[in-house]
Amino acid sequence: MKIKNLILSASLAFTMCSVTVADQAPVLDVMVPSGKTGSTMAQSVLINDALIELGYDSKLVHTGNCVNAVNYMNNNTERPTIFLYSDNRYYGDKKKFNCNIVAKDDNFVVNFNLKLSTMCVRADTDFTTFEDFIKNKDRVTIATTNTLPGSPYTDLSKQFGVDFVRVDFDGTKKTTAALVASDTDMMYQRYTGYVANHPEVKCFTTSASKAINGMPPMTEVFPEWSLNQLGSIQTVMASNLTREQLENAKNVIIQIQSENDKLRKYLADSYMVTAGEMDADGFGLAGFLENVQSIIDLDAQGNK
Amino acid sequence: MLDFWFVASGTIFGYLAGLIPGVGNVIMMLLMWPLLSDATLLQMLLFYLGLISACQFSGSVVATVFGVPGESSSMPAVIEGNRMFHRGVGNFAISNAALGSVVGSAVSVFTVFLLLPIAVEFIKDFYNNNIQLIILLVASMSIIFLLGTSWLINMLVFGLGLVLGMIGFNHVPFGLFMQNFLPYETFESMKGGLPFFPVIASLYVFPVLLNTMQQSSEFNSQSKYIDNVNFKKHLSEFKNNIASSIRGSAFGSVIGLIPHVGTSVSSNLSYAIEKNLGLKQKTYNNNGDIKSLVAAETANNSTGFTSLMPLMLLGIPITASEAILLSYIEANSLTIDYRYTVESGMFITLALYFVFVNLLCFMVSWPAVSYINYIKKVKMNIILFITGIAIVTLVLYNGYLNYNIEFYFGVMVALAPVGYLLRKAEPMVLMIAFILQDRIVESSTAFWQIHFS
Repeated sequence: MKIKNLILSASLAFTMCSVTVADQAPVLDVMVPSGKTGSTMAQSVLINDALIELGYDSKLVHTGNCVNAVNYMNNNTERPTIFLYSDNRYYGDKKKFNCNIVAKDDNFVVNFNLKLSTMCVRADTDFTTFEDFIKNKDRVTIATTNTLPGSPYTDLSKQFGVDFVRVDFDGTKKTTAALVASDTDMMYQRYTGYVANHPEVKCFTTSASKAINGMPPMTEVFPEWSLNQLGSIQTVMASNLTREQLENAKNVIIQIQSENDKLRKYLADSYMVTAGEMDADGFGLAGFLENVQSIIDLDAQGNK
Repeated sequence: MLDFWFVASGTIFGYLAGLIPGVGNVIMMLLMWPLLSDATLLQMLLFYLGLISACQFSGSVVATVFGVPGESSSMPAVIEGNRMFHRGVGNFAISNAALGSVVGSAVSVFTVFLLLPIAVEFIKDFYNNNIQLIILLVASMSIIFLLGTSWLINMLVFGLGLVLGMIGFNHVPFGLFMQNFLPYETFESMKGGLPFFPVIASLYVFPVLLNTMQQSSEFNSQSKYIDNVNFKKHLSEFKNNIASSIRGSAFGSVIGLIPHVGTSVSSNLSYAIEKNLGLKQKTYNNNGDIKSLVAAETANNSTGFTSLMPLMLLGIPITASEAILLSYIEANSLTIDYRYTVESGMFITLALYFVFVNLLCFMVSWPAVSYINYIKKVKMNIILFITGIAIVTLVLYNGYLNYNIEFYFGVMVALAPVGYLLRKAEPMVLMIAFILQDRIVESSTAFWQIHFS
C-alpha cells in the first residue's frame, strides 16, 4: 500500500512539475501563409527550431495561403503567432484574393531580410555578355516565381528585340528545378542560399547597387529594365501579441538571426540585409510599405 | 524503434482493413490521419507498406471464405478460392495464396533494385516539364480508360475532380478559380479551396460504403473454415504451384510500373493468362483452380511494391491509397521524390521492411485465419455504419483543428448528393483527379507558356 501511495505521489509530483514547466515556457508559434517549397517555408522551419531551442513552446502552423491564414488568425485568439510575409505576396494576396493582412504598428514585428533579385542560367551555359547569350534567339523563356505581379519582362523585350517569356512556377525550388531541367533558358528569382549554392545554376547578375560575388549589378546588364533594382523585403508580422511581446519578439528574431548558425549562413550566403541591420538603420514598417508601393507602381506602369 | 511501431501498426490496421470488404486500405488510410499527422516521411511510408501488404493477405482470405471481393484485385480469389473453399480445400487456397504473396514481394524488391539505378539516371537526365506532363496525361488517361465500366463517365468524373480541386486559391496561375462565377464573397472560406477530408468523405467514402453495404448482404454464412493439414503439406502443395507463382511475380512486377494499372489489372491479367495456360494444358480445375489463384495473388503482392515507384521517384501517386498518402506527406510539409527516398538511402530500409512485413503477415495472418469464422457473426452493416461515423467525426475534427468546422461540415453535406450519384461510377477516378489537379494545372500552364505564349 505504501509503495502504491509512493508511486502515486511521485507521478502526481511529476505531472505537476511538467505542467508548471510547460506553463513557464513562453508561447510563440510560427505560421506559414505560403507554399511548402519556397524560402518562406525553409526560413520558418529554421525560426521554429531556433525558438524551441531557446525554450519556447512553438508550433509550426502551415496555412498555405492568405485566406486560410486570416481565418486561422481570426479564430486563434490565444496563442501568440508570428509569420513571414513578403512584399510581393502582401500585394498579390490583396489584388488577387481581396485578402487583406494589413501591416500596422500593432502587428509589425521587424523586417526580417532584404533579398536581392537575380538572373541565372544553367551552370554549363557559357557566355561573356548577355548579348552573346541571346544571339540567334528570338525567344527567351524565364522561370519566374508565381507571386511576381504582371508581365515583368516587357522592357527587356523592347531593349533586346527578343521575346522574353514569363513561365510561372510556385516557389524557389520549382523555379530552380525548371531551369536545371532545361524547361526554360533563364530564371528570375530571389538570390537565396539555395540558388547561390546550387551546383547546376549560374547566376550572373543581381539587383544590388554594386558588384556582388563577381556578379555585375542589373543596372549595368539591363540598364533600361524597370525592375533592375527591385529587391524583396520579407517582414515578420504577428497575431495575438501585445506591444511588449512585439518588442520581445523583435529582439528574439534579431538574436536568432545573429546566433543561429543555419540562419546566419542562409543570410550570409545570399548577401541579404539582416533584421538587425535594418532595425539599426531605422528601416521599419514605413520602409516595408514603401517597397510594397513600388511593386504597386510597377504593376500600374504597364508591367502587366 | 519508433519506425518499427509504424510498420507494426500499419500491418495491424492493414489486416483489419482487408477484413472489411470494400473498405480496404483507402478508407483505413483516411481514418489513420490522427496517427500520421506528425509522422516523418519514412514513418509514413513504413506504415503504408505494412498497410497495403497486410490488407492483401486478409483481403484474399475474406474473398476466399465469403466470396466477396474486398477490392477488384480479389476477383480471382472470389472465383477460384471460393470454389475451392466450397469443395473443402479452402485451407490450401489460403496457404498457397499467402506463400505466393511472400514470393511475389521478394521478386518485386529484386526487380526494383535491378531497375532503380537506371530509373534514377533517367529522371536526372531527362525529367523535365514535358516528360512530367506526358506522365501525368498517361496516368490520367489510363485511369479514365482502364477503371470502371464506362470511359465516358470516368472522363466526366475526372473533370469534376479537377474542377473541385481548382476551386479557390491556385498557386499557378496565381489567383482564384472562376472568381466571377463562384460565390467566394458569400462563402469566404471557399477562397482557401475545398478541404480534402470533406470532399473525400462525400465523394469517395460515401459511395464506397453504399456499394459495400449492398455487397455484404451476399455474405455466405453456411460453410466453416477448417484446416487440419500440417505446414509441410501446405509447402509441398505450393511446390507444385511454384512455376505459377514465379510467372505471377514477374508479370506483377512489370505491370506495377505502369501508372494506374495497379494491383487490379496485374492480378486479373495474371489470372487470365494462367487460366488460359491451364485450359491449353488441360490442367485447369473448374471447381477451383489453385494455379490460377496463386498466379493472381502473387502478382497482386509484387505489384504492391513496384507500383510505389512513381510515387517514390517522382512524387506521382498511381493508386487511390497512394494519393491519400501523398496528401498526408504534403500536409506534413514534406516532399517525396528520388532525392528523399533513393539518394537519402531510405529506399533500402523500405525494401527490407517490405520483405519483413510480408513474412510477418504470412506468419501472423495464416494462423489468424482460423478465427475467420467469427467474422460471420458480426453484422457487416454495423461495421460499415461505424466506419461512416468515424469518417464524419474525422472530418469534423479536422474542421475543428482548422477553426472552420461549419465550412467542413457544409462542404461534406453539400457534396453528399453527388457522392450518392457516384455510387455507380468509379469514385477513385474523382479522388485521384482532385489530388493531382494542382500538378496537372501547373504542368499544363508551364507547357503552354514555354511553347505557345
